[in-house]
Amino acid sequence: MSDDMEEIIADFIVEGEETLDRIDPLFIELEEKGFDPGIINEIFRGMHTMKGAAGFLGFQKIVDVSHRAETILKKVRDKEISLEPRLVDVILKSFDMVRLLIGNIKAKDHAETDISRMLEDLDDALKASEKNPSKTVVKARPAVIEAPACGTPEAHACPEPVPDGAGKTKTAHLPSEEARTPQKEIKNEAIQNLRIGVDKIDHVMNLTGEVVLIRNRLLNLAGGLEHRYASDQQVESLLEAVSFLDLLTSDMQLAVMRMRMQPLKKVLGKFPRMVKEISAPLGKNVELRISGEDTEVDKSVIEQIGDPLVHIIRNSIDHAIEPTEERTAIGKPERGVISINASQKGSQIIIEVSDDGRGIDVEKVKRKAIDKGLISEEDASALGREGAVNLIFMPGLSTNDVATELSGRGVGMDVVKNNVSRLNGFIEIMTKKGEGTTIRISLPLTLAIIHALLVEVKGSVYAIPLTLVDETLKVAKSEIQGLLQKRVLNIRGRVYPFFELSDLLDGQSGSPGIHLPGFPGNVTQQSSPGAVEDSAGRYVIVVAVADSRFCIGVDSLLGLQEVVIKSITGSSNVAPCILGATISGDGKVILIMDLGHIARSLFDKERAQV
Amino acid sequence: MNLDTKMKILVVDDFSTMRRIVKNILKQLGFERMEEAEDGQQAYNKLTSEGGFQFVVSDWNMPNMDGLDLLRKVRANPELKDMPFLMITAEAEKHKVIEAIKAGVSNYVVKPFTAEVLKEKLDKIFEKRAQG
Repeated sequence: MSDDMEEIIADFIVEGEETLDRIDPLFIELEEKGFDPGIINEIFRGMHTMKGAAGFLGFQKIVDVSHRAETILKKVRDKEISLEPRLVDVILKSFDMVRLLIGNIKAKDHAETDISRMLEDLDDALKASEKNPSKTVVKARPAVIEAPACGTPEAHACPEPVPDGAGKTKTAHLPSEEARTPQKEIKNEAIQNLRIGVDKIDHVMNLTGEVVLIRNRLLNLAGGLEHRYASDQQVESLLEAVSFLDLLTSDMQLAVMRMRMQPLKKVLGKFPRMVKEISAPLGKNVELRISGEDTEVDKSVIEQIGDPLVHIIRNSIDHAIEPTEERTAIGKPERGVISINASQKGSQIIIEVSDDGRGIDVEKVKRKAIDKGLISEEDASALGREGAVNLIFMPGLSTNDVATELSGRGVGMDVVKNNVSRLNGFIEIMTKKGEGTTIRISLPLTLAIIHALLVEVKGSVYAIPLTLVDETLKVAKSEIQGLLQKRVLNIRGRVYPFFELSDLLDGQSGSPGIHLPGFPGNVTQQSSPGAVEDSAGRYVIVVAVADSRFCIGVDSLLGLQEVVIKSITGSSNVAPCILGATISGDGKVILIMDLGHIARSLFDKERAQV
Repeated sequence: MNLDTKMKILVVDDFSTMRRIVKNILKQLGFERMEEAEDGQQAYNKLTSEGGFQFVVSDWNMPNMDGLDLLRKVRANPELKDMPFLMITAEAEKHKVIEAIKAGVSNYVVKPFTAEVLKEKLDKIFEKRAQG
């Protein structure tokens, strides 16, 4: 019983949050469409159902709050009171309160959230509205009786939903049908879904990871056997079996990955309300357009992408979108538009946030950076447009006076960038003065398994995430030239900074300073530019992280492999340039390089130096 | 009286947590064969296409087709008209219970309810049936 109870409570948490996520944005829809009994009833039902379940589970506070909200919604639905902004406000607050209470249950922190104020607010709001009953009440009443609003419990007179072939139902009478169809479909399929704890899925994910590692080992061993006993019948069968296992494992990986994926809607759904709440007090009229919200991403992305996106949107409303008068004065449409567009491109998820506001004033950013002593006057003038725009990612630039109280909160674009990097993604800015800005976030589809390029340096093997590798080539050591105490490589007429991977690991030549205990590359005498002299040619990896490109020299390229990222635990001094570790086909531990981090430390340092 | 714990029961509610709660309570009472539907429409489809159900326990307020409409459709179907039907209502819906009674509901239960309360209701429903 108690196990059952725990599972039911876990269900309640998930379903309760989902319900809130679903009904929350409906208020925006309501605002656009005007009074719509179908929508009001849907909101009402959400609260009603939640209250019912909470009652069974003994969550009295949720019952108390949702009961009051439900009462108000019921009166609105029955047109006893009209839906004033004040009521919308207090109901939205009650949703937040229920969310908080569910959060308390989730955290098992036994937090004694005080709901008395909330209850009073709800009671007061209701009382105030009752004194001021709906003006349409006299007119509307008979209409309600004659033609009950569809979707209300009195809706018997409504045309019955017509089941289509797939057993889904169509409710063609709802005015908001178009907007809600996808949700309906998802809901109708829900019955075939099984709710599973994330820990269980993660366990399967981990096991799959282990299977991948074993598969890699088997492939390796089988390859060796093939080499030695090429004509052996049994070895041939073994190879066949192993190659089947290979295919199956890849399919399994994909399937497990899918289980963890959720539509971005989960995050984006909260934004319309937020945009409204932020823009209104600033006297700005902003419309949020969202597309591609069904794009699925890993659960951890869902959890971590919210804050950066919120920050970007806040910035856009705060700085980019002009006040209404200014917009009309320069001939722009009165209403500013922020669009969020999500899509999947190969193994990358792209989320673009665009606005039609002022665009970033590159000169102003430069000036700010100089004023704050982040860069020198000369550097600023040497900076290209792209480089200057990217200054906004520098810590310390956007944290105080650029950001107002709104976007401020002590968080700057550097934090946004860090958050995105933590997800192995990168961020780019495209901006045009007077026309607007697009911020593009690119994220890998999965965080657990990556395609990696295995390289060897001084006898040790490292894995480099393939998504960031632009190309690989072999060059003669003479092609690596010195320029202003830096090494560069000219590839087809373009000059790239060049670094030896071993130096990066050593922390030499302006590199991030990495100290790995017992790491074979910790031999410092090889860190001079002459280190390349002992080999006739160098293998070079061209790395592209966001808009920065650079080259890394390694001793040899060992090939591509799907690697499972295992975080390194039990050691407090894991170098920041190490993303994690994996186990190679022959059972050795391989460190996975965090190129994003390396790029940041290389170029941040460079910016600081020049 | 002894309830037939082998009977096939249809639990109808749009909130999956609620279906689980109801199923859990039924399980406590010894029932083993429970199926779910998430609204009246789905429940009705299940009752007509799958068949074999001996008891329906349904929530009232649901999208697409609510509990009352489901009840009416069930009563209007010659094959299903005698189906024992328990309506789960909220405190606030109490005044509407009369509609459900008119529509021929076997009994109703106000949520939240305990296993004991549900057992009482079931006893009443099936006692009446045994007598009449």
